Formats: sequence, structure tokens, C-alpha cells
Amino acid sequence: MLRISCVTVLLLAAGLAVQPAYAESPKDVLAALQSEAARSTPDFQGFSASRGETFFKVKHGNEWSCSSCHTENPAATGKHAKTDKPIEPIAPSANAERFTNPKKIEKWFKRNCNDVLDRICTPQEKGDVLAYLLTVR
Amino acid sequence: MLNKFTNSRPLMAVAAFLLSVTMVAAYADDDEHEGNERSMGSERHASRSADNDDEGRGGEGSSSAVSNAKWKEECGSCHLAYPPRLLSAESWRAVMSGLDKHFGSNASLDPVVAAEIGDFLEQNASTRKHRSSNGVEPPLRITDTRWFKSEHREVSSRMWKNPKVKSPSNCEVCHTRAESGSFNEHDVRMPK
Repeated sequence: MLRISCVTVLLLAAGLAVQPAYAESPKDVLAALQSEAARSTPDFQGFSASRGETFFKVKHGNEWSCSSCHTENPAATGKHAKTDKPIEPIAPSANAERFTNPKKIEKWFKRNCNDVLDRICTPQEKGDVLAYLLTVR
Repeated sequence: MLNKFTNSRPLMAVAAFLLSVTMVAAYADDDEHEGNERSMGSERHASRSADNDDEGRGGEGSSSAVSNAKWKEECGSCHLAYPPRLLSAESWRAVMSGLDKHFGSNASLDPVVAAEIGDFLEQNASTRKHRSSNGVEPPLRITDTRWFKSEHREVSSRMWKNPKVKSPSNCEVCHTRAESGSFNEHDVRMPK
């Protein structure tokens, strides 16, 4: 009996190798942002998808908003505002690879927040935006 | 039963090991998989000989285009990953040392990644004199080189203003195979 279950484990291991495995799921990323925000924001009251949507769509004093490149529909293919280079959809529902690689997430939040706000984003802002993107179907 | 349990232990260990190996492999792949070709060392000098002439006309170098996964991913996210042979090593060094002010955007990279990309660009850079410009040296823009201007001298100003072209830096609008490193004149399709 035990032998059979061991074979099952082996088969499972082989099966996992075929599946596209991501380092983290967008929900894991949101949870990590949540604890980060709770630590760094004194009166943190959770993330808000609607606040995230507004943040995503409005300009913050600079020429671009997030939606300038990612478009108003995060499930659609975007286009770089300057170069026109196509940008894969940012919403996890439309692009399973999004928000699965912590290094990439950090890199692009840093770069894009710098372009849009001239500063890095707070954990609250990042969490609001991700909460919004997770509602996009 | 006890005996059976003892015997199955090594099998369990193998299973656990296999599991961990496959997981690690999958994560590593996730980090890199946007770069289709992950060459560096072996193909690094592949287009050296192709560099000896205008890539635009004969199309030499199109089949032996050099590549590097990090270059493709980092440079190619916002614009075409411009082939190293389109600028001199001096130009690439200047571009890479000014990434924090990269044509209006802060495109700073992780220092290890930047070093690898800089190395790749310089190793495969052009050695031709006409990669210089008539202005500030070394040119940071490919479009400022005398070579670029000469190659595109027949392109009308109206074409440059075509909204589909938008900017002379959008090689791939007309050079249909630019993404694979080929600028062969036969592949040029002007937008209507």
C-alpha cells in the first residue's frame, strides 16, 4: 500500500514538472503586500479595488497614468505610450504570468511608478492596484 | 508492515528530491523565459564578420544575429532590443552608464544584469567609423549616426511623419523582421 502511494508521489512530481509553475500566485503577492502595508502604514485598513482603479486610471502630475500604456482595460493588450511596443495584458485573468515573479513585480513597480509619479509607490498603492487588477475579468 | 515502511523510505526520499528539483527548475525558468534565446558565450562573436558592412543592404548577419536573454528581456520590454552592431562600443558604454536618464525614463537595472548586458553590447558592437555622428560623440541614438542617416536618405519626410511610424526608432514598423535582427531591404514594407 505504501509502495503504491510512493509511486503516486513520484507521478505527482513528474506531473508538476510539466505544469507551468510560478514562484508565487497573485494572491500570495497580495498577501505579502498586505503584511508589508500593515507594518508600514500606521492606520492601515486594507486594500480597496475601487481606490486601485482610480489610481490606475488617473495621472499623478506627470504626463502618463498606468493606463497610458496598459490601457483603460487591464485585460487588453497594452501599448507603450512612447514606442508603441505591444505590452501583454496586465490583469492576471488575461495573462497568467502576471504577478507571479517577485523580482519582476518589484522591478516594474519601481520603473513605472517612477515614470508615473516620480517616486516609488507605497505598499498601500501597490496593494490597491493589485486588488483592482484581480477584480478585472 | 514496519519492514515495508522502512523499505519505502528511500523511495520517498527520491520522490521528495525529484519534486524539489522540478520545482526549482520551474522557478528558474520563470525568471528567464521571456528571452527565447539564451546564448552568450558561444554566439557572442557570431556576427562579427557581418559587422563589416551595412546590414541594411545585403542583409548579412541576419541569419547569425547574436542574442542574449537578459538583453532581449530588459531592452526589449519597452522597445525593440536594438542589435548591438548598430552602435559602437563607446556609444553602448554611454547608453548603459546613463540608464537612470534613458530618453526621459529611469531605466536603471540591477547592477549584475546591467554588467552582463553592457558586456554583450560592447562585445558585439560595431567597429565601423560611420557609427559616429556629426554632433555630440559618442551618439546615444542609432538614428543620430551617419550610417543610419545615409541608409534612410531615400525615406521621405512624409513617411517619417506617418502616425504608424511615429518615430524613426520604431524599426519594426517597416523592417518586418527587425525583431529577429534582420534589416534586409527585401523585408522592408512601408506602411500605407
